[in-house]
Amino acid sequence: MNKKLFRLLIIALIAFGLSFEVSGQKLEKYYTHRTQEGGDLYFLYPNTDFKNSDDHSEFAFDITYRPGTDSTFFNFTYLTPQPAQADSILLSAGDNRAAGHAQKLYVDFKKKRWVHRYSADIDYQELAAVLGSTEPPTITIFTAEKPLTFVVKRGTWKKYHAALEKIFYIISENAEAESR
Amino acid sequence: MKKFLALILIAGFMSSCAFTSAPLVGLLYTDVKAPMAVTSNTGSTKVGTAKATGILGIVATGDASVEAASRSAGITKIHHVDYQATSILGIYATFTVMVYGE
Repeated sequence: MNKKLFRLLIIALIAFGLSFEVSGQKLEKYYTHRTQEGGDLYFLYPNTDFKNSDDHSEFAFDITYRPGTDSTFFNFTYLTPQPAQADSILLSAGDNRAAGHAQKLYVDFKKKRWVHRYSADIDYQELAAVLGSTEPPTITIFTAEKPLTFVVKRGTWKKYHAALEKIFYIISENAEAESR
Repeated sequence: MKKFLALILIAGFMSSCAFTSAPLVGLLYTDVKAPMAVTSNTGSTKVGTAKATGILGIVATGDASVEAASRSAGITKIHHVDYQATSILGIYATFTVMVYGE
């Protein structure tokens, strides 16, 4: 096999493999759904697109929702150089606001940073309004010391938002079908 | 240098690269979700995940244990556990554990 043919084969293999990742928008990458007695369960996989506006440290959140209940479990993780216990969380986008009291799940110390994991009970309609907004949301965590603000790039948000729109539509349609 | 790099690449591919544990594994691409365990507990209100990643079958890091996944959502009663395995060309692989419970 000559060099050119070998290179072409390698490029074709890589393109073929990557095409699975970039072809269209696979909603399964963003959420999972489970049908169970007492109501469906939706889980939005962890999102790590948001970064601290000061030190660019990571922020991750995932959402669990059961239609029929008004609230969602908004679980989130943030890293700080010093311990910073959260009191509450606020998500805002344009005029839309969603807030909840932060309940500690655990605190850990990894790679020279404090890892804080919390859960907040947030109203589904308010959360859907914030995350359904085309405007990139800002997430603020209120601690005893100072508020921590996390932001997302507009381009990154656009992609995630497109998936969220479809997921919220699926949730509302299936909830309607279930309630009949 | 070129021969050395080629040797590393070939060794990587020969040693199955960054493939992951799954009931079905694709040579070019894998994205499979499957069950891991079921308990007699009923109903789930919470979901927790934990993830490990591997590159070229050379480096693999992360805590994809049931314990880590349960802890991430405050789950004390496990209903069932699923996992999702992905691999792209044997170069990059992930293994995610999803724990359902309350």
